[in-house]
Amino acid sequence: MLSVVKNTVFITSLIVTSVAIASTDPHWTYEEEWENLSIASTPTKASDFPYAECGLGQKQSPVDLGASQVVTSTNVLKTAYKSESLTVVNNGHSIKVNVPETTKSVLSIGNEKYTLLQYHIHAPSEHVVNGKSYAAEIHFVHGTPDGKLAVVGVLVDAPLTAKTNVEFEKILSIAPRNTTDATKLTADPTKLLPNTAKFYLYSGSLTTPPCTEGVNWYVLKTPIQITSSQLASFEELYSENARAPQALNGRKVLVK
Amino acid sequence: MNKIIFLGLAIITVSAFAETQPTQPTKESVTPVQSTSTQKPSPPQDIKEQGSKESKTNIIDFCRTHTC
Repeated sequence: MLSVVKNTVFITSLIVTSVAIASTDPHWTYEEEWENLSIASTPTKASDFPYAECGLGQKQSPVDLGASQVVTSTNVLKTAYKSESLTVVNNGHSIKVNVPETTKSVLSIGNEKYTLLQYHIHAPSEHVVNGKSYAAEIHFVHGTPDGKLAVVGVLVDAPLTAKTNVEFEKILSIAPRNTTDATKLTADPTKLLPNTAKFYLYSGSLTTPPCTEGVNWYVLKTPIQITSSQLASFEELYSENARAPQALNGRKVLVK
Repeated sequence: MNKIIFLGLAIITVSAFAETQPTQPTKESVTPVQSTSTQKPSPPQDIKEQGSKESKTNIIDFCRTHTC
């Protein structure tokens, strides 16, 4: 009888553990090399290795944008963001500004319109130019109803001569310290963009797990500025939340 | 004998969960929505689409709720 009870407890604990594991996203941090942790030499099914693309993908992001500039893009990039009520969250990996699904903020690439989904901040920058990294990088993530993704990357400098960036400060001032909190602000993301729309363009991936490829990256050439004090404030929340540059593997970086 | 039976049941239970509970877009479910041709390098504006409509919609929802 005692052995039956023991076995029942054992099985129950196994089931509870399985449910707990199955009901949460696989955990990852910037401190661990998720690319390597996620690779099996002979993966039998992808669900066993949800982040395998981070290590196995050949078109990963970020990259060194200065490494290959041989093609000129004919794409015309136009942002039409609106001032609206936004939600700022701390998701454990970055400070992220969520845009309502009803938003009219769009990115036009030629005749195609991409809706702004959210934007978030990395420090230091994820993309580098000829090996040079920037103080931070803001990613404006856009999508189409049929699932195409386009991310506009804005490089951020923090020189001693910089003036306080009011729009950046709006986010900083209400950025939640706890991952369970969310705050609201009304802002126009346009004010976080540089004045010129010249860009680097290449085909890459999400820079965080699951590192899905097929993302069109438009990294604006002109950086915006924040003060070193603003950078320090952000780094109190997140520093080193940036993935290292990945190999181009023959991809071309277009410029405009 | 009881131990063997219970151990067998436990393994089956855990296996069943492992096969039915992918929680994030996986390599299968997030097939690249676009990719460049490998034989004829072309600029991203010529990228051809790949992946099912369902997986494409999933990645948009995923990017609303995750860092991306």
